[in-house]
Order: sequence, then structure tokens, then C-alpha cells
Amino acid sequence: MPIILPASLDTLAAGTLRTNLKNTIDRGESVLLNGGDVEQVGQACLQVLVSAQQAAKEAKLVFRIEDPSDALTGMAQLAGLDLLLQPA
Amino acid sequence: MNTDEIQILFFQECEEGLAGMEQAFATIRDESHDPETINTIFRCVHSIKGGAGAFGHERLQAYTHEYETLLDLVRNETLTLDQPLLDTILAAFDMLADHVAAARDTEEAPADVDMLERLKQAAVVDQNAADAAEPADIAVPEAQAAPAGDDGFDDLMAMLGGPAEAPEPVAETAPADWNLRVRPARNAFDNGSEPLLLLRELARLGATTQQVDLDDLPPLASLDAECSYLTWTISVPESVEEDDIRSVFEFTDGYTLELTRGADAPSAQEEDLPTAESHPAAQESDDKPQPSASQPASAPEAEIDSAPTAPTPPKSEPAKSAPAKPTKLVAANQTIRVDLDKLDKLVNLVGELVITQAMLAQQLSDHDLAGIPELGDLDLLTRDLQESTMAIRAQPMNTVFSRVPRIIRELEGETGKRVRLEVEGEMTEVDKTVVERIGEPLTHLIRNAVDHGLESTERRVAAGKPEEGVVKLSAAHHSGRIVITVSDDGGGINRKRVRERAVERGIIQPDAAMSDEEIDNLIFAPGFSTAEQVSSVSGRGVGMDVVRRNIQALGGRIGIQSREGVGSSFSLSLPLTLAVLDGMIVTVGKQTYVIPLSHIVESLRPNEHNVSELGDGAAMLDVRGSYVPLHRIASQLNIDNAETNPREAVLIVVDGDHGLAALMVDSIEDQRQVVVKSLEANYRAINGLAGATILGDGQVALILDVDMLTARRFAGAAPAQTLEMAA
Repeated sequence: MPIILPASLDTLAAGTLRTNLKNTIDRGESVLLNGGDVEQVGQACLQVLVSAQQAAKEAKLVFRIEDPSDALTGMAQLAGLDLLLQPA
Repeated sequence: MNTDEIQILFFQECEEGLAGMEQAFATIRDESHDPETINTIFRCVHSIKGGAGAFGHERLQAYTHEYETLLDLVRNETLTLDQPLLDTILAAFDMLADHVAAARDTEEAPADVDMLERLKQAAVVDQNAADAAEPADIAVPEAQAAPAGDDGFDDLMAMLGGPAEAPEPVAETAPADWNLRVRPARNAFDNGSEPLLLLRELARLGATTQQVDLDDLPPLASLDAECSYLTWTISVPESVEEDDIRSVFEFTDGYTLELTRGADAPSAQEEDLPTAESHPAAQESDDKPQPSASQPASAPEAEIDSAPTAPTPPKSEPAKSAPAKPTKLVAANQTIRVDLDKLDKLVNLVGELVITQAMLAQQLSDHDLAGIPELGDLDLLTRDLQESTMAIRAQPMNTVFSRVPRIIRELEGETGKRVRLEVEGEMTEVDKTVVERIGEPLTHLIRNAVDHGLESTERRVAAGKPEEGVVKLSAAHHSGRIVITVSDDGGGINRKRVRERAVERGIIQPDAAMSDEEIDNLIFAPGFSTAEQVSSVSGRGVGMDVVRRNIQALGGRIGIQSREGVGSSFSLSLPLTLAVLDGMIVTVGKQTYVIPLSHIVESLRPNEHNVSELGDGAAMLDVRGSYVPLHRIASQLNIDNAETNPREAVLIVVDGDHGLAALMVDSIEDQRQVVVKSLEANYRAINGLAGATILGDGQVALILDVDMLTARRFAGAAPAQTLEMAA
């Protein structure tokens, strides 16, 4: 079951996102995220997602953001983080 | 410096920008403008827009975008600046000031729908005309920096959420494009700041992100979610001006920028944006093991190798960077911003020094050492130090005057009169406190001049005057004071009407014999108004009274000169500083008082023929044929054991709001500079006293309020009252 990312991924949301993703990876579970609801994204959460993507890769776990919203796609492109949306 | 402090700086610069725009508009109105004038206006708006975007003031940002679009069409001469367009631009400017104020005060932004539509219409009309007339506009490159038809300027939410307005697919970094490497400070998210907004601004300029550097990004386990770790390499089209790129980061704190043109190597261009945090941030990254960050100077290429640009001959670096950096340094050294509290503390300390110096002089004098040269030197140095310190607080009157054109424009709309504003001496400097507190009285005088002073257009034409009335605003230094004059070429004070109204209101007796000057001064009486109807402009009958009181509270005086049919002139005479004054030290009974030297005309000891008693304690002094009222300070302030016989006393002739008058004191002790201590702040306001000071012998002396003391008998409104003493 993918984790549904919240609509607002601003700086305030970054800490919680990091904790959730870390726990998922620590449990050895694949990171399956659904980005369809995301309306707002900031750099802080993008960093967390990239770091989680790297951590998942090291742990040989799947990291995938499904159905990214236009907002998420646009900001990832703006930040040069297109790879984030590609399957690991 | 944190984001709040930078935002304060932003709003200060907004104020300066608005003042600069107002000046530019005045130049346009005088028809003495050139293309640079429009450029100045455009740059101000552009700068405000940039800051608004950085701080998330989306309404202000959206508004400035439309405004900027129109101004851009004017500056690239797609649109001719005719009167209707100038009116639109001026009206938009007034609303811009409202927008800035609303953003600053975190209030609701003004209703700008109509104005935005007006701006769009003006731009559309222009564009159509331009399309018809000039199919190929030469000034295209500049317009590209701020596309006129860019209606994708969405709000902040969309900025955070939506993709960048698909920038024109910029050609793969052409050799002449800008290479920008941006590293936000570690604390770049503080106070809600969002670095991606700046990338978004760059995208609007046509920039594309070439690469993101993840070298600093820690593993998820050790990542601090509230720190910034990314560094971007961005390509910006060559057509974008360097200033426009840098202005995107104008209000950032601690960002590291490397901006190079084309194939230049960026090492010599590296620039930590000025901030205290920038150094720790740089240090922090230096501590990390990444080789690219640890050798910023010796191995610049390692840090920039991600940029898809060709290597550069090293010699070109100093040649490119040299002209820019010294310019910035010089500019930075010319002015600094200082916390006002620090300045006030300095002023207080200098005040204490002046007092201590006076005490030292007193002690030395007691030991017959008053003549030692070092004391004179100390006196001079103290005075110089005091004057220099007060000069730091000085501000040009322009900060107040710059608001007047808008008031005039609004009044033109409200009254239907046509008004031309003439301003002189706007760079005259005066203490910050005076600048801050003069605004309200000045506004009222301007409103009064337009509403009451200037006649209607029909009356002016009938009187053979130009349709356009003139309101003149001037400031000048005069005898150690600043004199601000508001004059108009209207009908002058209708003294017959003023007198009738004063009788109606019970302010004067019907048979009172009054000079023209005295009748003119009646308009300052509480509750006096000759306006037939209360209007939104003036006529509430409280204004001029309040104006006078406000001016007096600043230690100032207000005078009127008026000629019927020719116009009126209100002169405000204010001290340059409220902190120190030159005073004459006098005694009355056993009390010591200070009379401000600026009021004193002369002092004399009368003979038996000079003083005429009028009964009821009133007396007149004959000063070489002119009779002036004599005020007995002792009875006014209820002081015991004072001299009661004028012929045995000393009479100080003073000039105040109510003309010449003589103050009766026992003796003159000294003349010196005194530091004014507020009674209001330390005790409470007392009628008749302007403040207090500490003399060289340590005793407290009260400073007489000459205007108040001489007004009592002049107005004849109240008998001498017992005044409570502060000391």
C-alpha cells in the first residue's frame, strides 16, 4: 500500500516526512509513495525525498513515487531533481 | 541578520524606492525627464517586485508585475507617455504605496482589481498600437526580461506547488549565457523562507537548472530536515542583465553565488552575500570532507566542473571581476544602517557628557581654574561631538516632502481644483524626531492650503489668475532653526469672515480691537472653522488648533502671513534638534530657569519711565517706542520671594508665537548649552514649562515655554494659574 504524500510538503512537513521514510526503510520495507495529492512542495521535503531515495537504493529497496501531481513534478524539475520521480 | 531583519530592510528600501519614484514623477511633470527617468521608476518597481516575491507578499508581487509590465512598455518606447497614461501610472503608484504599507503592516492588501484592469487595458491598448505601427520593435531584448504578456504570474501557493512557467526552451548553454551557481545558507528555510521561490524567479527570466549538487546532502539518518543542503548550477540567458539576476537574491541572507558569463571560470566571481551567517555556513561546509568545498580558492575548477562550460583562460577572470567588486565596496562604505536604539543611546551619552563637562567647568571655576585652556578645548570638543552626533540623526526633509505630491493628487480629485506643487529645500536636514512628527501638521496645512486657501477654478479665472493654483512647500535653515513654509496663491485669509466667525463662536468680543495679525491667529483658536460645510478634506474646526499644538510640542512656532486676493503663507519654525538647546540661565526667587536663546531678542533693566502699569497686575514695557506686554514669571509660576518691582528686575524681551513680550526675572546668571530632559517622559507635561535640564552645579533647572507663558496674557482667556512644580 503506497504512502500518500500530504498536499502540503513545505518545510514544516519535512521533519515528519523524514521520520516516516526512515522508519519505513529501517523496517526493510519498500518506499512506495503516491504524490497525486501534492499541491505544494518546498526544497526541504525534496531533499528528504532524495535522501530517502539514496537510502533505499543502498538498502536495495524499491523507492517509487507514483502518480506525481503537476505541482510535485514541476517543482522537482525546477530543482533539477527529475530523477526523484523515476523508479529506482 | 535574520529574515525578519532583512524584511525590515526590504521595506526601508521600498520607502526609499517610492520616494525616488515620486521624485521621478515630479521630473516628468516638469517635462524635464529623459529615458533614464522612466528607467528609474521601472527599476524601483522591479526591485519591490523582487523583494515581494522573496518574502511571499503575493498580492504585492502580482500588483507590481502588472505595473512593471506597463512601465516596461513605456521605457522601451512601445508606448508614448501622454497625460492619460501618466495619470494611470501615477494612480497606480499611489496604490503601490498602499500595497507596500499593507504588506509591511501585515494588513489586508488594498482592493486593486480595478487598478489592475486599468493597467492591463493601458498595456493592451499600447500593444495594439505598437503592433500596428511597429511590427518589429527594436527594443525587444529588454522587454524579454519582463515579458509583457506573461499572465502566468500565479500566486504563492502555485509558486510553491506548480511547475515553473515553462521557460522558453533555452538553447543549451550558449557560450555567452550566464552561469550561476547558487548555494543557499544552511538556515535558508528559517522564518518560512523558500529558496525554490528564487529559482522560480530565475525561471521567469528564462533560466534553466542545469545541475543540482547533492554532495552536501547527508544520509537520511543524519539529515536535519530544516537545513538546506543543495547547490544548483543554473544557466541564465545572456540577454538578462546581471543586476536583474542579482536582484533576485537581493533580500537573501547567507547565500553563496557564483555568477560568470559564458565560458568564464567562476572562481574569481564567488560571492558570499553579506551576512554574519554566511561565514559560519561556509565554515561548516569547509569542515565537511567534500573536496570541492574544502578548497574554494585553490581548486575552483573542482567546484564548477559540473557546469557544462568550456575551461577558461585564467587571465580573463580578474579583468571581468575587477570593475564590479570595487564598486560594490565603495557603495557599501558610503552608508550603513544603524539601529535607532543604539543611536539614541549615543545621543543620551553625549548629553550626559555635556552635563558632566558643565559640572567640571563649575568645579574648576570654584577653584579659580576657569581660565585653563584645556577647559576651553574640552568645551569645543564636547560641542563638536554633540553636533556631530546630532548630525547622524539628521534626515532630509525630503522624507516628509515626498509624501506631499500624493496628498495633492488626492485633493485635486476631491476638490476638483487644479494644483501645482512647488517644492524647495527638500534636502534640508533636520533631526529624525522632527521629521517623524512634522508629517501630520504638515499634511493638515497642505490640505488647508488646497481646500481653504486656493479658490475654485471659476473664481480664479474670474480673478484673472491662472486656472492652476500653486502650493509651495519649502524648507530652509534659518538662525539655527528650520523654517518650513506652506504657501498658496489663493484668496488669502478673509479677515472679515474670520472675525465674524470668532465672534459667533464666542472666541472674541464683538468690539475687540485687533490687528490683522491677531485676526489671522484666530484660526488657531480651538473649535474655530470658517468652512461652511464639514468636508472630508477639512473643515472640522479642530485642525489648525491641533497643528499649532503639535508644532509647539516640537518646540516650534507657527506664523501666518496673508494678503487678501494674493495668498497665504504658513511658516513653521522648528528647532533642528530637540535634544540640546542654547539657553540663558536666569533666576526668579530662589529658582533657576532656562530661557531658550532662540526666543531672546534682548535683555534690559528698565528705568522708571519704561514700564506702564495697567491695573490688575498687567503692565507694558516701552522698548524704544514699542509697547510689549510684560509677564511676571514669578506670579505666573507662583514663585515666592521674587522681585516684584520691574525697575529692580531684569526684563528679557522675547519673540514668540504671540509677537514680542517681556519676561520679568530677578537676574541673569549665565548663557550656555543645556541638554533637554523631557518632563513628559520623566514626570508629566506641565503648562508653561518646556522641559528640564541639569546644570553644572548639579541642580535641576526648568526650561521655560516662552510661547505658553506669553500666550496667557495675550489671549486674555485665563488668569495666571498656579503651576505645579516638577522639582
